[in-house]
Amino acid sequence: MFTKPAPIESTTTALATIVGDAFVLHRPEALATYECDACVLVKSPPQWVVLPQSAQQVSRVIQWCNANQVPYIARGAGTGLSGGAIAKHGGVIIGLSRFNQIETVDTHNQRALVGAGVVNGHLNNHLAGTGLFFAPDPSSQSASTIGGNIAENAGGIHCLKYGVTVDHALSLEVVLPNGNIMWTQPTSNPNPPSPHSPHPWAPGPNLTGLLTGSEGMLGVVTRAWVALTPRPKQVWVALVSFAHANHAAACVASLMANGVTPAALEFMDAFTVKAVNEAFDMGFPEGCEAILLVELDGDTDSVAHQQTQARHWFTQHAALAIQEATTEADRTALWQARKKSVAAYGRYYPAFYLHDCVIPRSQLAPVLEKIVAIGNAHNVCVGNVFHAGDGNLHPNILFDPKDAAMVERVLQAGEAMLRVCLDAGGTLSGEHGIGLEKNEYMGWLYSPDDLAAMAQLRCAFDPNNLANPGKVLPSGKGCGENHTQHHTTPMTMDNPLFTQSGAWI
Amino acid sequence: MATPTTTTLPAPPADITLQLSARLAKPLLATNPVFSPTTPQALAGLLRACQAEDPAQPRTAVPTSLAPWQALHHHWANDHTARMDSGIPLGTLNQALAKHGQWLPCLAPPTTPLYTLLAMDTLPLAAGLTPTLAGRYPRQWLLGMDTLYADGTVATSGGRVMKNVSGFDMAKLHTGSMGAYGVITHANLRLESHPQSLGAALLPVGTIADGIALANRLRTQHPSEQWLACELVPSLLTQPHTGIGLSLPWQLLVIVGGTRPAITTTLKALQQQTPQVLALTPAQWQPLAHTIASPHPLAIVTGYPSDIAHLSQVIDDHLQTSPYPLYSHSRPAAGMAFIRGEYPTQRGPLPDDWHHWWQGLQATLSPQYHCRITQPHPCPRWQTVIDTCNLPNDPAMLSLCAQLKHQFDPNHRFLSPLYPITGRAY
Ligand SMILES: Cc1cc2nc3c(=O)[nH]c(=O)nc-3n(C[C@H](O)[C@H](O)[C@H](O)COP(=O)(O)OP(=O)(O)OC[C@H]3O[C@@H](n4cnc5c(N)ncnc54)[C@H](O)[C@@H]3O)c2cc1C
Repeated sequence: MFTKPAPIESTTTALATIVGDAFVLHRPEALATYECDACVLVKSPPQWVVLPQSAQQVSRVIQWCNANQVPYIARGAGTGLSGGAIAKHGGVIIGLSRFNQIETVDTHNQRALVGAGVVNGHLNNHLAGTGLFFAPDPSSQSASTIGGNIAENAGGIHCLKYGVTVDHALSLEVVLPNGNIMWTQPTSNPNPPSPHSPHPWAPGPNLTGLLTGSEGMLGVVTRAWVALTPRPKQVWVALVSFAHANHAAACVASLMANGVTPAALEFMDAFTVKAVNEAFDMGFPEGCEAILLVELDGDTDSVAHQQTQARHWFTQHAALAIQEATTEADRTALWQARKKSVAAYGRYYPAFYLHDCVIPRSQLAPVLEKIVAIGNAHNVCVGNVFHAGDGNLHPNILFDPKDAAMVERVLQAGEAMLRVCLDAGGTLSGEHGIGLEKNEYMGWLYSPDDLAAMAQLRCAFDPNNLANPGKVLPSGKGCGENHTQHHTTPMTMDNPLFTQSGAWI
Repeated sequence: MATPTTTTLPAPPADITLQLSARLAKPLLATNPVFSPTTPQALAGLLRACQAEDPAQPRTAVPTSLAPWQALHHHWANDHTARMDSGIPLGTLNQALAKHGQWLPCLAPPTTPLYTLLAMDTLPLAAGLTPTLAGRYPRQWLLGMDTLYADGTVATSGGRVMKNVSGFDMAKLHTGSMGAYGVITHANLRLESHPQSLGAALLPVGTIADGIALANRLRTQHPSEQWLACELVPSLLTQPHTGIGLSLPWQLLVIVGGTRPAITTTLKALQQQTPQVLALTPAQWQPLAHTIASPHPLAIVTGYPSDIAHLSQVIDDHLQTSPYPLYSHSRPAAGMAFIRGEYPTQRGPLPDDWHHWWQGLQATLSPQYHCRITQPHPCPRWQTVIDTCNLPNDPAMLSLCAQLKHQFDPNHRFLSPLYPITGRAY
């Protein structure tokens, strides 16, 4: 695949004709920025980066790529953690940073039209004072783009109640792999409220949902109508300490089973509690081995009702201490405990490998125990800070990138953790995507027929296999390879693309 | 004008219809006009047998029912998830889930098969006032599913966990597609805790505009999570269901869930807004809810919350000219209106006045309002389907959908109202 490299100079000229000289990068020093994303597991520079400004320009770039059999990769802010924006096979990176306009905020219909390159946090700053917000809140929201959030179906702390990005994407302007420009949700006339404003429902495949989470393999998103959510009237946060991880896990189960729907329900394990306390002297109680951060929001009555229930379950599960906050300043102070965990890990090792897998909520306690055991067996430090409410685990395996033997142990431990999660009825990724990081593990989760159906979908969109090739599906699962035996060659140090330089996040 | 013969259109068994070769279909049709495979494997076997057939030979549409597929396989109550056959009726499912205080938040008639809800994917009547919250559309209930494809293979996608970005989300191909690309055989769903109790009230209003204004006030003033529904319905519908004599022509039907004291407080608060508020018993509101939540309206008009008042008014004005007994109701928070009623009984070509009436409505609405009329009835035995291509007419989207059909069902085994089938021999 892609064996014939396109001639550099004529290609640069061709691309410059489309986007303008200033917006084609091809010098090695300029391309270095684009050789990886936040998953620095793999580095591979593109031959070109183009920075188009309109869907028409994106379309012309894609048509050129098709005509010349050159792969192309959409890129937002490059904060992806699974290597999705890496040019594995070289080619053209299509940077969406110039699609940075917030075009319309339609408060009545609770929706906004934004460019794919708009930074998530900027949209929310822009919405201040409207009583509305864009709910998906990945921790990277100060940098990651709406287009990247859509492509990865990003989640965040508050997606337990508010849903992940797909629940907030109404219609996408997408440049399809054949160069066609399409809105995923039909519109019937260009009059107000705004051009291309999507209908809330239309029959047919849910193309918005299909494109969301497709990691740039089914098309390049250039603009999006997103849903805005009314801000809750009341917010309450509790930081609850427990003497044992099992107590905290059982408390999570009781809260959710008894109809408490927190906006956020986060878990910090013993290692993380210790790290944060040592680094920042947070004053957690003696003997605290696990912490839950619970945020309730809604109208005053429902928050009050759920608060009573929540306190009941905290006590039932032998909470050591409950700190509560209702003012914004106090809430922020409580959240610091979680937000500072990454910095606290830095006191142990310079880097960490952030895993992302999901298990059924009821399996929290046994799976956590196994993860700790895997860490011990591989002689690596593991801190767990994660979205407990939806069972989305984030084991952070700490390491020194200069220690090759340790890196190898980290990779093996990570793989063992994935196995444990799948055995518990879980999945490979809850929010960071598959990308290059986990595509060879897809065969652990899906049968050849399952993967063939995904390959067929990819084929319907991109028969030339040029849109972000080599991601998501295991190698050998391209168009025309349906129902063939799949391979599982997980990423190892032997992979020629693997690099151990730099911190991984 | 003579009153045309009408009848209420029976819901089809499920909205997948197979198109089989005459040879394969004959024995099936001899025994039963509706094919009811007992297991997905039985249907898979038949589809595999079809593979050997020449796609060009004459074929017969075989209405296929998934009704035998009704099992609830697992209910992981602690996880708020369950795995089930796709043909399970909503009532059967919710009854089983109720043992653990959970439900699928949808007020459609209890006989509605899950498959129909998923295949249609319209905003159900329990979606509340903030349709963007997670779990509102049927597609958001789906954590994973098994699908039977036209070549007889079954593929799984997703899983049974709350968040999942492992691979393409194939569920989004099938939800809303009315069976065009495959048959959903099993579904893994996310569930919700059932509110301690449900309460409902009617708020009578004189005009559509007043009703929508009131709905908008409630939408901004009241908590979204307690509100399952807020629907503008005509008296001609509420009266027979509730048995209450109503002096005003329109009512807002409000359905709330929560603790008993919370519901009482909400209903009292409503009383302060509109003194004539009428609290309804379950025996009164449930049949009404089932009628307006039935997944087979004659048409769904999708607009915006901001123009739903005008949209509803224009539809209502046009309804006055209808030669058939039709009515409409509106879901203001979603910007949607539904047209229901009776349908001409004649098979074959529909009467001209029926067509003229719909064309008239389309003409009245389309230049002025940003809306779209969809006639979703999925049963190909009725002529509308043959006349209607429900896919939007954007050429890029049409060509993409053609590619999808070509990939997943190249021989058009699955009839679906999404694809125009005029001119084909059956
Ligand atoms: C510190 C940190 C914290 C994080 N926290 C979270 C978290 O809480 N939750 C979470 O879900 N993720 C998190 N992430 C991961 C990452 O931020 C998200 O995946 C984010 O959505 C990526 O956005 P981006 O703009 O950086 O996309 P990129 O990294 O540039 O691209 C990601 C993928 O999307 C594709 N893509 C990008 N833009 C487009 C487009 N316009 N059209 C089509 N495809 C496109 C790319 O090809 C690639 O496959 C975190 C990352 C970091 C570094």
